[in-house]
Amino acid sequence: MTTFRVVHTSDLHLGSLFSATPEVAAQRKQEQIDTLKQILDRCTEINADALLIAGDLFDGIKVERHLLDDVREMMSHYRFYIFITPGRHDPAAPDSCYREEWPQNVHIFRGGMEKFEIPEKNTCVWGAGFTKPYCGETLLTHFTPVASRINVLMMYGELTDTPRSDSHCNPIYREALENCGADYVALGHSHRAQLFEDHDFLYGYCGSPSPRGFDEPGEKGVLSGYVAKGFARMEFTPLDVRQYYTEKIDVSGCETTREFTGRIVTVLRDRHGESFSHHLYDITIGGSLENGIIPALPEILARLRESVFYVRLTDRTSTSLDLDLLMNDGSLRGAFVRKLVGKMQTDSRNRELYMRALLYGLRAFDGEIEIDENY
Amino acid sequence: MKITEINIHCFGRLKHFVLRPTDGVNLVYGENESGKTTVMAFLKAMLYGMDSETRRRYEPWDGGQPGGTLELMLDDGKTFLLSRTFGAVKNEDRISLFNRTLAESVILPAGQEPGVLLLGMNVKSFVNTLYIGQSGVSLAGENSEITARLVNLASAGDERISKGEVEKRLTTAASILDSKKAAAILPELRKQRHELLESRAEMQKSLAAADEMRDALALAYSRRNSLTKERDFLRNASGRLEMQAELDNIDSVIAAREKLTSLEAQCAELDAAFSGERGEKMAAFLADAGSLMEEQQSKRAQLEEKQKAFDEWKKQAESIDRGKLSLTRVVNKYPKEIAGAFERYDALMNEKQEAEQALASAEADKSRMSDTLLVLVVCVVVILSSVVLGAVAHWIFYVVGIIAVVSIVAYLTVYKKGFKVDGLGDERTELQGIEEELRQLNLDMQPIFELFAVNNMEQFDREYKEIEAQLKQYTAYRTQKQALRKEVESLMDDMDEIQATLRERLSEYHQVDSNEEALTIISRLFDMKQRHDDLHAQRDQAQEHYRTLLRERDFDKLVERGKALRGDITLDVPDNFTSERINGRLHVAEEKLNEITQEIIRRETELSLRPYNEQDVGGITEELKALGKRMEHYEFELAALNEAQNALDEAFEEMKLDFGPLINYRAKRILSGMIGEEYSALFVTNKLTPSVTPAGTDEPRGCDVLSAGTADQVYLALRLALLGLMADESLPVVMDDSLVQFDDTRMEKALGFIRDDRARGELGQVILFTCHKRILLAAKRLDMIDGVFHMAQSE
Repeated sequence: MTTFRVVHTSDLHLGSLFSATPEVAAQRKQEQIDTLKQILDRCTEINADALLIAGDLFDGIKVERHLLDDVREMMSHYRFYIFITPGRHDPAAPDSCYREEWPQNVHIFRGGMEKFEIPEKNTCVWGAGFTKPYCGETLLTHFTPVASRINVLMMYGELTDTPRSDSHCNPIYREALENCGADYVALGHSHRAQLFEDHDFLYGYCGSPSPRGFDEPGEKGVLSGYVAKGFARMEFTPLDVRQYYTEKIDVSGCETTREFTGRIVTVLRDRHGESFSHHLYDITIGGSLENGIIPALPEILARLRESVFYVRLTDRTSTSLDLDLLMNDGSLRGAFVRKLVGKMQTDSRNRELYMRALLYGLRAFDGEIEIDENY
Repeated sequence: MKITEINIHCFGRLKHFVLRPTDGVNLVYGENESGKTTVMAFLKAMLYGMDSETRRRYEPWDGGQPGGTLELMLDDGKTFLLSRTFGAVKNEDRISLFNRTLAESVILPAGQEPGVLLLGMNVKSFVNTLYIGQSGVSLAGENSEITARLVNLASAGDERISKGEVEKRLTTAASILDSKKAAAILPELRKQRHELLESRAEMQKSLAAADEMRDALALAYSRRNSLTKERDFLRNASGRLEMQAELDNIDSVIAAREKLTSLEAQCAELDAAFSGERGEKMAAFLADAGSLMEEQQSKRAQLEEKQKAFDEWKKQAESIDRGKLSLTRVVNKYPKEIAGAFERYDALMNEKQEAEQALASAEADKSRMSDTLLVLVVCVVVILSSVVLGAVAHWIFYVVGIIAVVSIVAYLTVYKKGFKVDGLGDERTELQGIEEELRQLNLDMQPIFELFAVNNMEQFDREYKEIEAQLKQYTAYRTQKQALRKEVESLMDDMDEIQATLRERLSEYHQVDSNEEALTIISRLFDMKQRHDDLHAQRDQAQEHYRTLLRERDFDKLVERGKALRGDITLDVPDNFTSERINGRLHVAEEKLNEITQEIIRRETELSLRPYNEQDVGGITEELKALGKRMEHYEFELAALNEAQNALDEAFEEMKLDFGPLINYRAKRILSGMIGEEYSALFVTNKLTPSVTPAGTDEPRGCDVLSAGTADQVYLALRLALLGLMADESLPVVMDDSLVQFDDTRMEKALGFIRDDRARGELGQVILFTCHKRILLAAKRLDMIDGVFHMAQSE
């Protein structure tokens, strides 16, 4: 039985600016290319016949020359086929790099539905690409699978559960897709991996192989496996890439910067294992601190960045206060505390705000208030 | 606020007492029992009333109605007059408050004392702040009660800073986050966000424009592709036509060459017969035989003409009616009878003709006579009628009758000569006689008529003329036939002679058996010669044509080129595609292609120069997200600071009603101002004891362990501290020998502090009552008194 071994990826967004993490943007940009290399090597490992890149290989139409040269040069070293369907971010516009010359083993679907035959594998690879950043009409047209061959379809688009959709991202009616006659459909667009099965028919999104921000949680990787006539077997293969994690860590009882840092590192190690330092974190510290203890965020951040690739820190700690004692104070301080405690009780939704106000007020009674201007 | 006039109508020992204090420090000096305390009691009673004990105590000595007025001026200049008459009990007091500025009464809420309205404080606060009596600065006697009151007001705690200080710290922190200062965080972040949003909008606009450019470029590409295809096709078509033309030319050269070769081969074949000695002989023979052959041909032509003429005559002869020709024998048999018959017939026919003419003339005359008679009858009728009517009716009818008579006469005159009234019998008879003779003639000729198959002379006449014509034609044919025969025979003879001569001549070269054979051979020789000459002429023409087509090119190369062209020509070009048409369209296509290429270059350049890329928008969006998070953080912090500020304000407002917690701070400041930095802190403890912390120690000391003077100073400091917290309005302070417990140094320092505090604007109007001359002198020495009032004991 003839099988067609493939690796399915999409949404690499090479050239992305990583503006949300400017401190490590340059390194992250390079790591995106390393991810592509990792995927290409994965293809070699499983002896893949083809790599399917279902859209958004690049983050924009205009690609930096050195990046484009690197990618093409890298791809030219591999012997398997590389199929690319341009997506929403990197459509095959007139000024697109996809209009340029690419290595011989790379085939780009630059417009409407097109067929690429691989007779030695008894396979037809079908694809349709974006030519503009938006595509309101479905590209799932003119797909006429060859009955005697394995038919693999790939495109960038948005699955819809109704025939009509307002989507400007190549709306693909799920029912039409499930009845299209392909043996496997490789989709791009969703950054979360989702594999769907309808009887023996398999299709899905491989998700982004490498996240770009804290809004892309979860494990990242590619789909790899084989397609045969009438069925496909694909599985998710994680890649060794940096992950973005949003964490809440209780630092109650900590007093010194060393203690804060130690607590955070311990929690991260517990949660993400020894490779915790490899990833990027958006950490909010919370909990109750002894009266007068204020986390020195810049110092904590500096120390954390010695052991963790990237950290963003938000302080939501509260000082442990004997509110009863404070309220019994007959001075202005006591009256102030009573006012805010009263507000906390009557407006519990804003308790955190009133607590913060209480802390600020108490600090003001004690001395000058320091504002962290480098948040 | 200040008190501008104290007018005591009657109160205790005082009657008709008026005091008009100045704005500043007023010193009211008087010996003991001069009424200073009474004035102070009057002030308090006017503002807050009196309890029953006080009421009894200050009953007028002369038994009059206690009461008086108090004139007050607010900081904004408004003047109030408070009048009060004291009854036996509080409810019987009559109070009126009049706004002099607005000239209207102020209605006091039920049960409310005017002091609360005017000074913003209750009586307790008044007593413990503005109203500083002799007992207010000592610990003995009532002092413990005052201490307790102060403790209630000032509260206990470790406050060392003012509400203003806390507020300032909160405000400072908030201003770091949000203020008009350039360095504030939130405005800067908002500015950054605004700039980023503007940049993003600009980028999006630019990207939208780029998308439009791409659409236009895609169209341009499509157009260029179709134009390129058209141009290539036209170029190929043009080339194809050129190639075809070249190939056609080559083919024509090849064809010319083949034709030439063929002609040369044919010429070469015939040239053998006409070359050498044999050829010379042949030429000599043909030259000699030529004239004979020409003559022979001429004769033959003449013969053919004769033959044609003969055939024509023969054809005419075939049309002669042989039957009629045979009748000539009958004519010849009866010549006389026939001639006589024709003579008689002709005569009769002439007579008949004449007779018929005469008869016709007679018949015409007869007809005209009938017409005349009819006219005459009509005229007679008219005449007769005219006569009758002229006689009966009118004479005019006679005129008509005369006209009719005249007409008849005229008519008869005109036509009289033409009348012939004879009958027609003679003419008809003559005609009948002629016709009888004709019948007789026909009868006479009947035997001959039968031979000619006719019935009468008329028919016979026509038949006879026909026979004569046929005979004439036949005679002419025979004459011509004989003449032609002679000519043909002569020509035949001539030709035989020529042929014999030719045979004779030919026999010199070739044995022949007959003239015909000789003639055939000679004809063939001439044909061959003619063919030889024709071929050479054709060859020369073909050679010239070939040379013209070849145009000094190499034939072999042309053949090779032709083969190559034949292989290259693959494109099918429509038949109606002429070279001219193709070139015209090609020119247009190339021009359009050039235009579209220029447009593409321009658009590609524009597109490549566009300043932004899609990922820039993504980048800015990410930056905005990060910025949004920072703003959210700082806005939360700012909101918390604002909430703290609000809570502080609310707490302070609450505290202010009880003279709040800043007393300690202010009192400490005042105490330091009065006695120097001997104490690092002043505060009132929860044990209801004001205490001070001596400088250099951490242990507070209560007033009970302090000297009486120091304790008074502490209380005075506390009271003065309270003043600043009472209201925004500056309020008058009334002091009744409050410095009496002070030694001279401290007294002067206290006076100096009061002077300085006033200078700083911290204190308003001060009315200082004293019975001690040293205080009066000290105040004068310090030049702090704005007004001095002396109260005499006798009053």
